[in-house]
Amino acid sequence: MMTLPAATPMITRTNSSEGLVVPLFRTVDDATLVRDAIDGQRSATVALYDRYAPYVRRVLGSVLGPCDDLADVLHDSFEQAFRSLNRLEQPERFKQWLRVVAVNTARGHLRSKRRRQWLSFFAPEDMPEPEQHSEGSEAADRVAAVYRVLDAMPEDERVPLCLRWIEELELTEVAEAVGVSLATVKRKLDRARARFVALSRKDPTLAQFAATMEGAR
Amino acid sequence: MNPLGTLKHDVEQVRDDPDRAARDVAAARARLFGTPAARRAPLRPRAWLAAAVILVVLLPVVALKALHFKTTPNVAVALRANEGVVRLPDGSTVNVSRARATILPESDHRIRVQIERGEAAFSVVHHDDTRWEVEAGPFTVVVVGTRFECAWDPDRREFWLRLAEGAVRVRGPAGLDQLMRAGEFVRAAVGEQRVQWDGPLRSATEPALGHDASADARSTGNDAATTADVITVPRPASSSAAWITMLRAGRTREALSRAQSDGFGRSISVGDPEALMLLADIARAQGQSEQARAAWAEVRARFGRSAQAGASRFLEGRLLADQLHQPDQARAMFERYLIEQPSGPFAESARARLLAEYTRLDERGATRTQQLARDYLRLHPEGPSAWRARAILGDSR
Repeated sequence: MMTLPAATPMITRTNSSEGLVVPLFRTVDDATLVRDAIDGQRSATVALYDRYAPYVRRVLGSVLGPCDDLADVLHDSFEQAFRSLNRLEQPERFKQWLRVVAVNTARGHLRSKRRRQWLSFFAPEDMPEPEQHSEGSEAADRVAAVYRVLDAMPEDERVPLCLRWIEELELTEVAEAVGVSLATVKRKLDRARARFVALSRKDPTLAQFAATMEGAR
Repeated sequence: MNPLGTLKHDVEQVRDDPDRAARDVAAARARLFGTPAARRAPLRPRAWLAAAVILVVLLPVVALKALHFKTTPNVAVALRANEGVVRLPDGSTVNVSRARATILPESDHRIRVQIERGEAAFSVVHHDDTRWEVEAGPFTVVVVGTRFECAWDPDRREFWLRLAEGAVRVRGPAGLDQLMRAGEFVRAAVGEQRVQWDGPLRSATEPALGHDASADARSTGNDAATTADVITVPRPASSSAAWITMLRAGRTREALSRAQSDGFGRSISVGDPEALMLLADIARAQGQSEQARAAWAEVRARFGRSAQAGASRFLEGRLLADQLHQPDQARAMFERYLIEQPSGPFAESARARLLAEYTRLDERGATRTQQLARDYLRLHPEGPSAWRARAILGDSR
């Protein structure tokens, strides 16, 4: 039986004939990991995933809401990112770049979902999610209502609104994530807020909130 | 709090549910970084014989070859080994020379091993604060400190376990939960409607499965019944069920609880396909994967020609892939779904998942992969995986 050397370096290339060494990546910066990943170091790619998967899932969750396909979209986001990694010009801005990739993937998912809707004569995945916690059922109902309203909005308004309102990105970050200018994103956000309030008024769960939101304007 | 603030807080609560988040991240991770399995060309009968001879000759040599890895608490790593002995930092060893298995050291105190196919031998060093779980098909062996061999044959849906030392707890489909002690051997076959458990019966909890009265009487003692007992899921005498009434009233959580308390296997043997599909979906959402699978299997067994039976294959495939990390079985489900419902509502998703999986397995050139890619482009030219299909076919459009 082979044994490991007593001390392992910080980053070690894997060698299947000698085993797999998992290094400590916490102290390694993004740019180094990106370069190692481009060089083909699988362990660096894994480390980038482990570092940012929870964040990307959160962004996707903000944009898409509760859905069964979140793992699929997360997978597709990273797959797309790793395929295009060699086109990343500023490796130290990996997180921002990854966010753009994730948002684009989420938008593709929204478009695809709309196209598929008419096909789904029977879709158990669209059934309402059962309540996970009875004490949180009202909150779950409100969340479902929020995303019902968002589903009815144009995608180019929904995505910036989610990123700004739920994800609390800066305006410049929202503009970067959706690939428009700062002025354009401001206009879209204004329209999105107005549309969200107007649509919420028609939803029984959100009607009261809509009235308060209008009163606060 | 302002109204938008309240709604934002609600969204965050639901979005950041730790169990769902961990499941999503783990599912995507497994699909991204699973090591490609050795490419397997279909073997002719004579080739099977030759392969068996070669295997017998080479096994002792291969078994001497060792793999070794070290884990850190912040970076859990999945290591799939087709051969050799894996030694863990705590001194435990797993011989996977005759299995395709994945070892997932989830933390310093929790190690999960998934046997996709074949048999593996374990020698687990007991530590008070460390928990081992070995997953073999729908069975989970909970280990404290022991020495045992365990196998799963996904084609025959057969599980076996031989315990040399210590004690383990075996959990399985439809609430099966049995204790095993040193020297015992069990073989379990999973059918569409029953689990046949040929081995000692010693219930770890109140059995959720119905079983015959004599087995019941034997299992109440401290020692196990002898051998060759059979646990089945019988049909109930009544044709109505309280869980269905609750379900129709929209009391979904109560419906699942009631189905469980009445004996899940017994409960699902009544109900129309819509009710069973909904119950499966509720079980899945509550993390009761095996109960979801049991309900889907029931739909297929009793309503084999229905649209729901076809849909159940896709949904079970997705659960196998994302939550149970059993890509081989998931693939089989997606393929079967496409045979049964090539234009069904999940056909695009099934093709997309198969294309991704065959790419991961490095089988882009295989006839089946090429066929799938052509079908995908023909049927879903604007689909989200069209780029992958084009890449597989070498079309740079």
